Amino acid sequence: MSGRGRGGFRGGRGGRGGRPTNGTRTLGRDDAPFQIDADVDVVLDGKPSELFPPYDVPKAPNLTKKEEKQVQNFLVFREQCHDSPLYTEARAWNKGTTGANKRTYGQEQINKRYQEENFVDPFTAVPMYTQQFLVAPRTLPDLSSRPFAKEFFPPELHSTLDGTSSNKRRKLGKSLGLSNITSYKTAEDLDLEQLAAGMLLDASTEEGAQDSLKKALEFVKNAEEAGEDGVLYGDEDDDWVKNNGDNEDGEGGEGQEEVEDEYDDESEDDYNAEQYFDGNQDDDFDDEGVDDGDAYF
Amino acid sequence: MNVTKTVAELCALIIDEMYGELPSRIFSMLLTRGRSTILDLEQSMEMTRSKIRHGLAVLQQYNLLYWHLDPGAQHAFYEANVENAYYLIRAGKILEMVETSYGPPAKDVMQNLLLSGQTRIGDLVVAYQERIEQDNKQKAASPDEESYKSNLLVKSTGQLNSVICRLVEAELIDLVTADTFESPDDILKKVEKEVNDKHFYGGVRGTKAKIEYQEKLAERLREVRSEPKSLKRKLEQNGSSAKRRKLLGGGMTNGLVEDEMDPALDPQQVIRVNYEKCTVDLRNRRLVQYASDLFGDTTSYVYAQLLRHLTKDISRCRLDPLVDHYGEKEDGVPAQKFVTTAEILDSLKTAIDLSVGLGKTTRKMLSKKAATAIHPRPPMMKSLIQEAEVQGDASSDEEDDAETTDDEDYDGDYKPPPLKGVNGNHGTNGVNGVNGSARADDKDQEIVWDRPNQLRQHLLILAESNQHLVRHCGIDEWTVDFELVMASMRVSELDTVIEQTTGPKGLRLARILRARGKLDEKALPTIAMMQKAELQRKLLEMQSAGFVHVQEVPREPKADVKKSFFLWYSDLDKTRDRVLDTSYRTMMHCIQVLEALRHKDRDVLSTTRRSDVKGKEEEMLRQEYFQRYKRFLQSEKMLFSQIMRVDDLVAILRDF
Repeated sequence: MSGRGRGGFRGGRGGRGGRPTNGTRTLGRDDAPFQIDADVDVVLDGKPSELFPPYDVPKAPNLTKKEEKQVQNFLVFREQCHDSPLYTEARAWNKGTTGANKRTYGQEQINKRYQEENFVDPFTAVPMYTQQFLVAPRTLPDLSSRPFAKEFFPPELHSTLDGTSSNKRRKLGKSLGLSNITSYKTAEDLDLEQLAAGMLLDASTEEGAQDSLKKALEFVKNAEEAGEDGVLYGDEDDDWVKNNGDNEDGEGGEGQEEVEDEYDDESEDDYNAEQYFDGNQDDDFDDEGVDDGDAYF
Repeated sequence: MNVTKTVAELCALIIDEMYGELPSRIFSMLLTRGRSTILDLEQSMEMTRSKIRHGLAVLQQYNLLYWHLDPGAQHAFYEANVENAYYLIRAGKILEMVETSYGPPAKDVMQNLLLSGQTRIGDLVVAYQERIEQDNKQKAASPDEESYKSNLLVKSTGQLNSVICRLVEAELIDLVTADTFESPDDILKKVEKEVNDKHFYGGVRGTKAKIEYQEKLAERLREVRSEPKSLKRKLEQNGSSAKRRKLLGGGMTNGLVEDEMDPALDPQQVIRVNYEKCTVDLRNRRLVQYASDLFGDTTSYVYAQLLRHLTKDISRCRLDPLVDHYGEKEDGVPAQKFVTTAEILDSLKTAIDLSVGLGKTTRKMLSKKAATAIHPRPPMMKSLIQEAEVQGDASSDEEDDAETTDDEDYDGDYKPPPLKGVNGNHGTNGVNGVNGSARADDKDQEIVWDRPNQLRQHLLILAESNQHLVRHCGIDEWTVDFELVMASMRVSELDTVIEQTTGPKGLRLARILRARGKLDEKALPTIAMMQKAELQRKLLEMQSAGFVHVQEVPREPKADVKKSFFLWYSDLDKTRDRVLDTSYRTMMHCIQVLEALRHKDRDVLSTTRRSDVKGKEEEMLRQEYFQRYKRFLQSEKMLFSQIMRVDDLVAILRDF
């Protein structure tokens, strides 16, 4: 903390927890841009500026049924692509693919983005039970598992298509596996599920278990039917005009809230990592580490 | 497609989103460096050769590359196929289109084909067979065999075969041939050489020879281009397909009846999705929607059938000037395709009540002659300036003068169909003229028309529109000048963008400038009837948005700002390019935002990807996590729907 010696207040930046400021802030030496002579005591008016004039934010119209279907199709397709053996993933999130230092100079720096980080996170280095479920991202496409129409590839790639030398587990019958993924959940689907599950939960606690179960089943059935209604194929196929209609699926908003209430009670488990750190939140900790800690439980 | 920096970046992002990081990096390098060999790539990417090979293989499998191997050379040249990369974003639309037009089984096949890139038919059949067997096993294992509901869409290999046949006939799937992966330039070079060697060994001399050379070239190019369609031709020769189509009215496959009628396909052949034809079909749907906005639902049903017949043999939206220019003409008259009223009537569903959407008017309001006039030749391509003036040509009897002001309700013309023509307002579109002819025969009585006549009236309405939706090219013969319709649609789309960005005043100014050409700054206030200060503010706003442009012309040899003319003008092409660029940027931004969101919620997402959590997120995740997951999914969907919408605009401005 460089500010400590000179500035005389904790944290060194922004006067957080420093002396009372009365709505004005004193700039730390390092913060002043070089045009301003920091030796002269520069006092900036730290009051909130005037509110922005009211601005009418343009709002996109809701999705039509047709668009809904298109997006859904696209998402499923993308999910299947990600599931295929040819998908490679090396997201280097910490290396500035997003954020401020997006700019790169030269190939070396670009390549660095995609390299494996040889840095051990002490929180995840210890083997844990859940690690067996983690799916390791693929860095090289797995070409050996599926057949290719080789005559349409340049000859220099043929050896690669058979599978790399290190990876020569040539299966007897290569096959073009069809993807098992047939749906991609959207937030609405999850809502429905949650609602149904909430009803089932009712059933386990209350006396009239049978009734609630029936209710839940009925609900799921209704939801399914509502879903099928939206699909306008069948005899009346090819209706290019009607499919554009607005999407007017009502959603049980009230029911949702009820369910959420229930969960509020539940989520108070005895181990709550955030509560554990709660007392220290006001400290000058950089609590980025906590974020990572949340990833496993 | 013009490959600008934005397009290049967008395509790399799209590939990254769909097929992963390795192919995306190689693709973007190919775009930066242009045509390169594996050695060049190795050097410029500083990557191991095996990695590059893997990446190239994936790209090639997904049809994202052109490659060319000179005879005897060791290394092939690779080139990026930008069009196909962009079309990936349209996958959802293509699938939706296939599903509504050809049924869910066809969508399933199409999806698997998109997913696996170029595929041998045999491999596809084997994959489906495995799936079917698996399903059968499950069925046997399930306690109650009767009630077991299979979720398979394609239930037998026979059905698969017939679905593929159907899609091949529709050209949505085509064959991969030896020339498929040659870039257009390479093909041209190859064909040129061939023609030179064969017919013009001593070189091309004289104008006559030059024309002949061009024709030979175009002919050969057409041959090369139609090679992937050989399978379709083969299927068409087999008489059963046409019969079957007739029997089922071009509708659904029901998988059981007509399996035997399709010839078995050669399992060695390799197929892939034909994006060009998909674009044609998507254009049809967009046009139908356009017609529906203008004239109402019933008329647009008619239009849909007309387009369906007309585009059966159109394989691409934009004609290649080199190839198609010479081919279409025979004896100076372009061979045009048309559809007869009877054909439309046959294919139109009987459930559609054609009497809806036709209005009525008194006899003196109409000119039957103008309404039913036949235009055997397409109108000359006019620039927009003229077009604005020629508007209302069809119904020239009534209105001549009030046109410039009426321009404004060009778009907002839509009224619920039954009301059509009741108020005299519709005169601009000439609808009255047509509807009136209904009354011409019988004045007071409500006439009940037979179906063919009703259909004809709908077609006449379409033909009379200023948007060139349909041309009445012969007695009971109809055709569409796609270039003209699309031009009008493009203008209306751009107008919407201009209005959204700069308000109705901006749109008005743009239209004035379009109609008048270049206008001096000093003359503008009087013409536009606006105050000078306000006008200047508006023009500057529009200039920075790229909708109007200014040219400075000095009055004297020594340029002086005070003495110069400032000519304002609005150029549609420039506007279009600007809007396209903004659209690409928007799409790019959407994907980047998604990436940022992923980064923000990476802890949640890595948990949901765990194999024990996947599928039962709600039980496994803590409530707070679950909420975050839900929120992420929601924003993801919104971002993609934004991309789809922007793509709609791009499609109209660029592809259709």
